[in-house]
Amino acid sequence: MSRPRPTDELGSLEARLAAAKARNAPVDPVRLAGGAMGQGFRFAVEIVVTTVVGTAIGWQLDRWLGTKPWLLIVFMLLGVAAGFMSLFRAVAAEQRLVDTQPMPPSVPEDPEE
Amino acid sequence: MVRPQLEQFEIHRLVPATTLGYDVSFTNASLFMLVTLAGVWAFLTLGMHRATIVPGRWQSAVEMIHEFVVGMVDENIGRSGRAYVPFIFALFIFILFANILGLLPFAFAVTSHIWVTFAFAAFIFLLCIGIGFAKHGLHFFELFVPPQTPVVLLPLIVLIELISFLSRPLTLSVRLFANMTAGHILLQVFAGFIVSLGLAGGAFALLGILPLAMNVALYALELLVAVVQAYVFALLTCVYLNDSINLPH
Repeated sequence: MSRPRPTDELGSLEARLAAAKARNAPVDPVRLAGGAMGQGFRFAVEIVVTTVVGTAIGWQLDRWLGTKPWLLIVFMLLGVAAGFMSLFRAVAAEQRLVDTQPMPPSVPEDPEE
Repeated sequence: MVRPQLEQFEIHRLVPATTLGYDVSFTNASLFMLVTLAGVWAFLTLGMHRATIVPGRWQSAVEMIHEFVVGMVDENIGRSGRAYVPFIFALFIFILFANILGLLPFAFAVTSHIWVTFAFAAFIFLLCIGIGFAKHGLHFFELFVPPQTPVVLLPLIVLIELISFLSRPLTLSVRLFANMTAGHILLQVFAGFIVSLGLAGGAFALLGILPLAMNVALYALELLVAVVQAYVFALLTCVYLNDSINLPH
């Protein structure tokens, strides 16, 4: 006998459950912190590595073209720019996400206070 | 002579072998990769071998990881990314298990070696280029030209984009490698403090509690790092694949 498969009815129930959960999902602080840490490391490493890669490209081009040290300087700066550009893009994307999200309902102030 | 803090990263030949002048010995790194694979296999098959419609604890753990990966792919690539779910899932769960296994006493952290992580990253990089050219042909080069770029800035932007693209395999591999290596060295250094304070005796031995407490806290942090880095690796693979598949510009 084959394994029982979920029926359609169950599928729609699952979908409704997921939708309901998504509507008022509490933000798990550990998950948020983990995600933020991952993102932070991501861009920290990216800036360092693009700088190194840019410098390496410039150094090699200098050796081939005999333009020491100009291309190294130019490509190092381009590498830094590349690292910061990806950071800037990510921040801009985040900002768009924040801007499009509806504001949470505000809590009326307590008149007693 | 290797520093004691770095001894844990040493590679030993368990079964020496050479082929065509290359050293292809079976090392402790190879052994722990097999152990990782065995762990993944056991986790998945034992968790799913009696799958029920209402999952038990183990089965829901497996299903949660799978849904997590599917969600990540859907969010970053879209519907057309479903074909890549097995690849991303395999990548994620292998790195996750390798990271966590590496934290066990006497274990060898496979992902703390740049060559291991670089092999993954280089494969992903070449895969992205291959998929990009297969799907878009020469239009794939449009990836380096963001829309609405002023013509004056075009040479500059293309160069920057090119550097950013070429550094992808390095960023991907260095991040995972650096996180794992740094964490393991930190644990070892504080463990060294415990031993030397304990040997000093008397009041110093009591002070040894401090590095011990630090190590417990660090271990918890390292568990978090192990999961987060596996997640980031898989996430960035999705982002890079998305660039190849959908050509966002």
